[in-house]
Amino acid sequence: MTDTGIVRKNHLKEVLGFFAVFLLLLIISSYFTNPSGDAVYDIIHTEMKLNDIEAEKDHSIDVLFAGDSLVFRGISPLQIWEKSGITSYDLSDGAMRLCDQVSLIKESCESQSPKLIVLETHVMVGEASPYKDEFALPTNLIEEIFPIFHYHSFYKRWKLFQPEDQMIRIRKGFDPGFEAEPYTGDLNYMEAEEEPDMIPPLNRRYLSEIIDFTREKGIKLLLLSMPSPLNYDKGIHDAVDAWAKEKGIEFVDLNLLNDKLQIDWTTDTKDGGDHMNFEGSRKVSLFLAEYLEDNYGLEDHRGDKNYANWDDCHEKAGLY
Amino acid sequence: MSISFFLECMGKWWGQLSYTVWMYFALLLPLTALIYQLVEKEKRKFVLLISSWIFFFTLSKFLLIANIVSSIFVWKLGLIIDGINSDKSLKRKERKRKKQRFLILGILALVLVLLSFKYLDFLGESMAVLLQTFGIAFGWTEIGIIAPVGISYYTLESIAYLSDIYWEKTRADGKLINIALFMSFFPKLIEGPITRYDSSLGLFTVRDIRYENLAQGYQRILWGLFKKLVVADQLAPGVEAVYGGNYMDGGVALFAALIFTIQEYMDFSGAIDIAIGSAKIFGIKLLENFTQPFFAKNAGDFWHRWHITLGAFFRDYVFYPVSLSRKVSKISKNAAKIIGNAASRFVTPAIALFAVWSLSGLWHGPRWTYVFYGLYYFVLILIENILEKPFLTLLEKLRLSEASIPVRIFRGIKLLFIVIIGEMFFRAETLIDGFDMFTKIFTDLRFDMLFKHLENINIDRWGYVTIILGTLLVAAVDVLKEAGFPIRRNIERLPKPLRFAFWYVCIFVVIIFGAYGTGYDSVDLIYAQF
Repeated sequence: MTDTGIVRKNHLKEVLGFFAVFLLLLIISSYFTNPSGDAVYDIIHTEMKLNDIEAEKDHSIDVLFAGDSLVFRGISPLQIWEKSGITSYDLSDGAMRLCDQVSLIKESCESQSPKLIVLETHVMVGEASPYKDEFALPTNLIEEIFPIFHYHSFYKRWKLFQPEDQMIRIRKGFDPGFEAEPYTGDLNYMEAEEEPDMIPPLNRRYLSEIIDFTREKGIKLLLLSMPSPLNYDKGIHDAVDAWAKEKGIEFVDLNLLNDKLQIDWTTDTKDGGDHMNFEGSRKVSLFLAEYLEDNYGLEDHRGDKNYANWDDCHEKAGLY
Repeated sequence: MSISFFLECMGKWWGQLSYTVWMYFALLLPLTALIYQLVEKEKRKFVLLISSWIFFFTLSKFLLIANIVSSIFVWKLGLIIDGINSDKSLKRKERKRKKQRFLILGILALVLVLLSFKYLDFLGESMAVLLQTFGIAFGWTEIGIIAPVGISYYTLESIAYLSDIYWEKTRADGKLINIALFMSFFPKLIEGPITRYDSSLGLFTVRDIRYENLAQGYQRILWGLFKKLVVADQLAPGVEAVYGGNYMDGGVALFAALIFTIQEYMDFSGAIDIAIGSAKIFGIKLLENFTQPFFAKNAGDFWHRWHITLGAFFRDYVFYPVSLSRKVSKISKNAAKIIGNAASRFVTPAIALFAVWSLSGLWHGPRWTYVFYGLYYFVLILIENILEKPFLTLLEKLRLSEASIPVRIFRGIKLLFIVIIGEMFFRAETLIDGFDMFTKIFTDLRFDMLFKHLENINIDRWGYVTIILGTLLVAAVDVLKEAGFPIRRNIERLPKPLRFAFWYVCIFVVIIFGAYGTGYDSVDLIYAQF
């Protein structure tokens, strides 16, 4: 063999050796970064939400509102507090998936003992998988084989001198939008006859997990559809309704209750019928406060010195 | 699997292809290198060309045709001009006149294509505003044409190539494949570096993939990924939030400009590192585009170190031709009669610099903020030229050398301020926004609101730590490079296990702290839009 041949062979060995060790390191790091509990889609926001809820006084929250951006834009826990004295928290973030909700609900119930969990139904019909969408196959596959690529921001679960007075925490997870962009579409969007949408099998699996968990813990579960013409139609309503009936779970669709809510689609939506703005959230929250009082017999904590912090937050939030 | 599903998948997989997507550096690049090595030597250039066209197609689809047509046009025109150069039957003057016609035709055609893809709306809208101010009713409806990827870069490269043949600095290349590759080579396609034909001969020389080139190429790519994913993309949501936010005082304005300057440097120089590293794998040496720009002694020097290949293009193809043109010499002579010899020696450089900087501003894109950005440097560099001599005299009187620490600190702070203010205008949505921010630095400079804002600009605490440490690391490497410390050689001297461990740490730093995947928004390369 020539010198060049030997050099080449050595180099090939070096390259292969380098990649073999790299592969091993990927496997090891994936093992350690893969969450021991439930697989989540958005680790950063899930962990941030968990940090937020853990900053709350233990076992002080009676209602958890779970879901995606429709929740944190449209439900104001401090408005509910003002009206009814019920303590609640928005356990939601943008584009969250059902897998994130399962993990969030389970982990937040380690420090909280909610009497009721309200699950906003938009997450039921959307993508539920911890990985990306079905078309992103190679990325999906690589993230599944080496979860380090999916959970690479695992370190964000370690708190880093997190400030206690972040506005999102003061407002109990509520993040209002103050702009108003009117919805100009069909106001009878819930009336058109449509085939019921399907709740995908993976979503059903996650939903069953939530049901099992709440039953095991003795927590009541309520399904709620927020008013949103861009996200809801009769097809989705029928699918959720059928599933709720099958499982014996209560379901409230606010899209069908506008005679009570009085949402004005020219002034109460932030972005043309997608999310509520602050005015819309006020109407929804006042309705929910009354609904929770009437149907769940939750305790009014106003005046209780153990909950004085809620009055402070109410004042600091600068909204009411 | 149906064809439509396959195509849809391909579209999704490749739709966002860029230098910082793993599909590029872990699939397209190694696959190209592998096929390149395996095929017969005479077919290797075709491998590079096909990869480049695939890359082009994923980003610009059928606009690839525009690139191919331009390549054929430039190739043919180059041959024609070269043919005139060698036509000894013509007299010198005749030859010059004839080839000048072809050169002008070429430049006009290339610029016209560029204008129609990138500047038509800008020209139409500006024309409408101008005519309306004179009371002439003229409206312009936005057309919204999408330009082929890299058109601004390969247009300049083509102009340089044709001009070099015209000046007989180089011969025309008879091989169409060489010109097609020169104008579409995928590592430099999106953001440059702007390559000269004579410096890219390596592109047309076929060689084997060598271990050293492979290793060094990927090391450079890793460094680029670090700058882009760990620093620039972690900063991106913050820059977006402060510039788009509804609160702006002097402190916020300064902070916004500072973080955008860091983002842009990391983003652009990171992409160039990836480009240079990718080419290196094939044994091709692309030109450096950044040499520690923040160590420059003044604004002029800064542009010798920042986007070097753009500066060099404008120097060679605008500044010198304008400076040496007869008309400008005439203006300068006439000016000497009016303002005296001492002052008139600035007239020629002033005219040439004006041409350079207005074109350089416009090259960045059809926005008045870019035009202003160009003219901002025109004024500053002109002032620097005028003040350089008095400044040196002052230093002499103060018995300070240029290399003394106080002078270097003064120059460093001055440069940083100049660059940051320049970037403030460059990134501003409109010129009015830019001036608003600038004014607030002097009229409303306070920092209480900035600290309040820091919590709400979409960068979490870990993000800040990552950005600060990442920036310090890049700064430290720049300091070492400026001091001439051979970083790579010292790493290569380490014992193998230690060397491997070092690279594993680097790879995992990018994997763990990079801003990619779920929970992060992918950020386009900033200079890809220009």
